[in-house]
Amino acid sequence: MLLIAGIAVVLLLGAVLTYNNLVGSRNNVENAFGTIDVMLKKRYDLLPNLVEVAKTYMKHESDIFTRIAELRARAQSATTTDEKVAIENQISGTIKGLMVTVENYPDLKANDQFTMLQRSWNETEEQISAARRAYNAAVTAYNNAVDKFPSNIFAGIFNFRRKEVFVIAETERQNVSAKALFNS
Amino acid sequence: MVPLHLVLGCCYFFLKVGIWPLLLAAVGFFFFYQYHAKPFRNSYKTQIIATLAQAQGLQYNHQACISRSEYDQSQIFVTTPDRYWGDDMLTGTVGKTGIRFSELHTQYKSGGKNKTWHTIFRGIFFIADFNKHFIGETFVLPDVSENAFGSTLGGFFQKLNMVRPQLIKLEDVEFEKHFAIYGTDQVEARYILSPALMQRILTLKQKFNTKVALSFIGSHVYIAITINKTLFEAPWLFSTVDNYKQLEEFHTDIAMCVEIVELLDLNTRIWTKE
Repeated sequence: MLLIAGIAVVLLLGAVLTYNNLVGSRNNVENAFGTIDVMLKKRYDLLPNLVEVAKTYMKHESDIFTRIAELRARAQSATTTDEKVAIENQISGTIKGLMVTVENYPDLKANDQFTMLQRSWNETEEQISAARRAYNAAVTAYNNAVDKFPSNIFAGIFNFRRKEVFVIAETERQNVSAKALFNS
Repeated sequence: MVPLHLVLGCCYFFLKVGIWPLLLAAVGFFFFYQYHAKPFRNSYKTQIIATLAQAQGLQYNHQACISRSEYDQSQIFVTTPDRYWGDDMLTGTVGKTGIRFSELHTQYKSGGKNKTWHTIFRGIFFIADFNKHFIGETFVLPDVSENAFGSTLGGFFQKLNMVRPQLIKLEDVEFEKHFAIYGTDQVEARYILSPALMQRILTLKQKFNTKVALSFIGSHVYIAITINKTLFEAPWLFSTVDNYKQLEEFHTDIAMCVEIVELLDLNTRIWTKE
């Protein structure tokens, strides 16, 4: 009798720990996703300043600024995560293109305010990439918990589903070509 | 070949006057050497090593070392040292990056009456100004448990490490094989350890071909490179000072440390930190 009770207690304890581990890793994923949002917001706040300074020097590049304004408006109205990510990727690409074009404007390149903004931009870009990598690591840990035995049994019962990792967009993998950006 | 008459002469001398004069001469020589060797060592270091250091834009102080507070600040080693020793401090700026490094040897003692000294760290302790802003603490330590127990069991032991902040699993498999990473912030650790920097740290480890531990704290990167030799030791009193092989070795030792800035790309200042 005592033995059966002992086994039951061990099993129950195991079940509680496994379940808590699943919940913990799911919360980590959500937290990591939240961090990406924070970083994107930071970059988003930087955008108008960057455009404002660049605009005064780059009078002949109105195309690129129209495109940025358009993307910014679209990002504001985006509802789904996928859509948001796609637009953010495009913003990244466009700004990379802008940075390439800056090479043709020595006055702008020498402008202290612009240099600082450029540095801040690089920083947020790298922070976003770090946040994405952290998110992917959290998703991998969560997916492992969902797939591995014995926690997969609980995952099935309590409806924990696998999550997708961030895949770097094709445009980000390629080197930026200013020409291609202006033609698009 | 020692001539026979000389051997016979010596034997006759010892038989006649005994061993005492020889012992006396040896003791005399010992004190003579001690008396002259120290000033020689000092002037050798302040002149020759300092010149070699200057050639690479560094200042040299043979009596100074990385301070105990900086060593503690790095938090690379958790054991509190009972003995702290170091010398051969080099400081300077390489490009935009301020660096300083010295030889260090830290030990702790165990046992009651029969004290035994154990080395915590012996080698080069290197501190450089890091090129990105951060507020948390990140540690890149040699992966002892994963090497000993394999990735699954080793990973389990890594998680159990109570003295360190949370474990950080990075995506670079090769990097993970060599190092265990701990940090106070998952995102910040990845911001510091970009894929490029991970590769660069691996190259650094290969270059020194020894145990390397790093920490990123308070806008600095601390690097502890284990080396089991004394750096910049002056030659024997009666040898020549223009031993090129030895000078070349000193030069290489300094150059390798200066090269860390290049290896870790610390002069790239494209972020807000200038």
